Amino acid sequence: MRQFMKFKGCLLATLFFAACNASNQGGAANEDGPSGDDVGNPGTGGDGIDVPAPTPLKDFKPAPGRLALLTSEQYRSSLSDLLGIDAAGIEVPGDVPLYGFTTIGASSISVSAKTGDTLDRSVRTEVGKVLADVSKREALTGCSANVEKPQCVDEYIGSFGRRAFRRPLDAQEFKRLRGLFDTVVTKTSDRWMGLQMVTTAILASPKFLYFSEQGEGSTDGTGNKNLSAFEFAARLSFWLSGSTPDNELLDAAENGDLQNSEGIARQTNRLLSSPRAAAALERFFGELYSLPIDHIEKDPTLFPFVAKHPELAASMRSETSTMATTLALDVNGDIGELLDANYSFVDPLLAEFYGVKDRRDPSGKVQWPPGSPRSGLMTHAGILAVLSKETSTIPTRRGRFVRERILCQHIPDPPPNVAMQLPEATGGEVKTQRQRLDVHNIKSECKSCHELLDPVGLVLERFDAAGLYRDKENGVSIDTSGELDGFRVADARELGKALRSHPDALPCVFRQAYRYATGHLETAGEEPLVQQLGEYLAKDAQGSFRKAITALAQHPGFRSVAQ
Amino acid sequence: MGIRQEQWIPAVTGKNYSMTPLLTPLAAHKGAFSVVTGLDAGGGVSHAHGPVAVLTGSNETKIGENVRPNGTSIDQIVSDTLGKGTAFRSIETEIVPPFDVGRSSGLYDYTSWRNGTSPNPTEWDPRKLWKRLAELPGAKPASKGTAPDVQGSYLDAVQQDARDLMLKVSASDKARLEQHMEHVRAIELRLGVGQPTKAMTGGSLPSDPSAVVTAKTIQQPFNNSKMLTKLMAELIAYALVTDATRVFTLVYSRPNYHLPIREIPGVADLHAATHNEPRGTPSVVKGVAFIMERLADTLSVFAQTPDGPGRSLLDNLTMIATSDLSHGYDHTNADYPILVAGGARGKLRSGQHVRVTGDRKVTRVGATLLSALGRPPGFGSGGFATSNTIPELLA
Repeated sequence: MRQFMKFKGCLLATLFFAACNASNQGGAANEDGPSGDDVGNPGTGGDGIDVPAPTPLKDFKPAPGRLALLTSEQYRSSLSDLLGIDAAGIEVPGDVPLYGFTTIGASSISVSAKTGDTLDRSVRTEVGKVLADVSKREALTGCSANVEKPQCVDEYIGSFGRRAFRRPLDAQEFKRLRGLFDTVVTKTSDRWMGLQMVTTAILASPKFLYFSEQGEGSTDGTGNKNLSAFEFAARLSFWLSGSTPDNELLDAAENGDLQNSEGIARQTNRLLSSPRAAAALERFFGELYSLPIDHIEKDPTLFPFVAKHPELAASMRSETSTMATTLALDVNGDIGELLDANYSFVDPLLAEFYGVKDRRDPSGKVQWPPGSPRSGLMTHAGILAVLSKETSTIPTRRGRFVRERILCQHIPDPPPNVAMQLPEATGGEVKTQRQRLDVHNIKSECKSCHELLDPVGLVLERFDAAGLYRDKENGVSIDTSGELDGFRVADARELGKALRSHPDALPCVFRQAYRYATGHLETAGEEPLVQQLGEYLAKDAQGSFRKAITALAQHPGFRSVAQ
Repeated sequence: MGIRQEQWIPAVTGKNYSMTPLLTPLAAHKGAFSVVTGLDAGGGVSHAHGPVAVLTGSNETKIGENVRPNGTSIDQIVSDTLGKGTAFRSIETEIVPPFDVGRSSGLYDYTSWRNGTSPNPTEWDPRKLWKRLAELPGAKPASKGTAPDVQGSYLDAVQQDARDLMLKVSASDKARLEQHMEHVRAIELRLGVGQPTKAMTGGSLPSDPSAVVTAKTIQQPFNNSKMLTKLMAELIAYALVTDATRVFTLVYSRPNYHLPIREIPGVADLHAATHNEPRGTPSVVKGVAFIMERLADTLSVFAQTPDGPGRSLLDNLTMIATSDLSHGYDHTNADYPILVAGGARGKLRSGQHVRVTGDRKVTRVGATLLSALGRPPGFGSGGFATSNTIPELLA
């Protein structure tokens, strides 16, 4: 914790007190711990990945239940899976992210009129299109000429309802939908219209649009419950495949296979081995690192290549997300490599932008030559460009990104009523950002934070506002020396190495994954779990993100919910 | 990004004030708005606090990278009663959204708030807003097709499902579902469930913006904001005169945004210019004046829209126009920029410069408007609470 005490004015602290509770691991089982039936059982199944048995946690207290609106991407993928339609054309409402993550916003925000309206219109439109198409509606409902028979209608309501609600319908729900069908058919004499309204009712229902994690059964004597097998299936599926559970996962829930480590290991491994896992993790890393989605705006006179190639934003996103997901899904991969890798994934357009000539690997993997200034995540153009203005870099913002997103430290905002009267680096007296941010220019009340941020951000100054390499700014050679928590670094490559060896880096990426998966900022009670598995990622798992999330999926604490 | 006081505040008060450089773009509408100066919005999170104080009368809480007000914005307070029975309780629009809008920008994304956890996102694509208006049952001559009562038949099951779910979740999640179901009830209204379709009267639907707006227009709004503002204003005017809504928000660009104004040369980034240039320099004035021109265009559309015998929409409505700061250079909120436009059906007096003295809380603006609408004249909470109106504005 030494780095936290050096700077008095800036209230730097990790959100919770990392590294203080390591001794809790392996402590005696505690009354507050969940009493899952498999605590202490081997945590590996036949088809799973070898992870250690969950260790009892001291002072663990799960978070209360939640009600989460599907994020726009979860909604889009679910609708596409359920209706058998192309995901790209589905209208989505957009998200309200909190703490950087759409999933956290989705657990606490009340929907606006516009969002409610968009979801409703989107469901009506897509269901209407499918039901208007004879082959699509037959594929969806399993009914054709036999639509005249009640059995076909009943079976469809039961099976479609189960997939959409992620659990079997109860008798009342079935009756309600069957009643709707009958009413519509009575009015219109059109059984397909009846099925259209039933399908619309299911997909416009809050039971589809939200997933609820309340737990079931009796409490375990400590006030905690376990998620139902179906609730847990939904949590796993939205997290690891970005969509609603498939029938195999629902069957596993129904058969009791999600009540034990082996069954969970098998399903987790199956989900992580599907191509959907890469897409789901791509979204997590995209949100964590604020990657561009489809647009990078830069001054067209300074950056004509960017202006000419709007698709460059997607190429930049792909560089970081391909690397992150490739490392994350490889059971032998080390996610820490993301921070200082001497290679990257560069598509043809980004290769042209970077000036990379030797791009032979079909995956787009490019080895940076010795002496290349690029190394790791913080030299990826997408991140550098997003953390810049249209014309110039913002070293302070880049430093803040490193502190908050990569190391999970918290930096307060500038105090109100601050005059930001630093002279612009335009080639007059002040030629470089380093001169601009010179300590003598920074007001005393701002110094304590700038001292944490600028020596990190200025290391990246040889990458301009679009992420291109330069060695001079306004004719002056750029000095990239800086400092990270006591380590002097000379350039971006050394910063990458310092980040990779930083004790907070790997626990932080696990912490962020936990927030994304559970849709909330970890509570103090969950801290033992987050720390135990963050340490596991950093030490025993040697950076294997896949092992760490598999261990999380199997941990009884992960399916425990407070009353 | 605030204004420059010395270029904004008129020298004299009353009706005979002269236009200052930043007000000049609005000269044609001098009789239809009032300049209110001397109000203080207090301090808080830079760029976020001012609009929160003016519009919600509260302070903000910082949550992670996001800012939440501790109150409800005045448009939503008003729409609670005024918006009842209309197809859209309120409409929120925006002209220049940030680049790469799908990416989380965290701070400052919203202007209209039901409460701290319920922001109203804006629509920035006029094609989408047009479609919503065009699809209202009364917007077009009745077309053949399924009877509306069948089209909305699923909504009952949706409401019943919501009630099931409400029994199982926490009190706060129950409130979230209740709010969602409020919107579902509005959908019933829009689908014309259980009532005869009433033709929308009072105005004619503007032509489909798709004829002039493409995906590229929307992706580069800073190149097209003149056109986009006019289109959006026309759609808002149509929605208001046909009673599809009674409450609207129009954002030019979000607080703290590094706004390029490419439609005039020399303002690469208005935000950076406010910090980097000495006081009163040309590009800040040019940039703010450009945005005032867009406000003037909006007022022109409203002034040209008939709304009842011998009256224009601008005679009947009332708007607050404001910014995210008072003074961008040093992030201060004293002498906050406020314009009050429209006649509120004769309830408000326009065409004057009012310099407020005594109680300088910026919430006096909200209190005045609520009073003009026949509400008790109280607005704001905590240190912002006031029941003082600005008497000069009330007719």
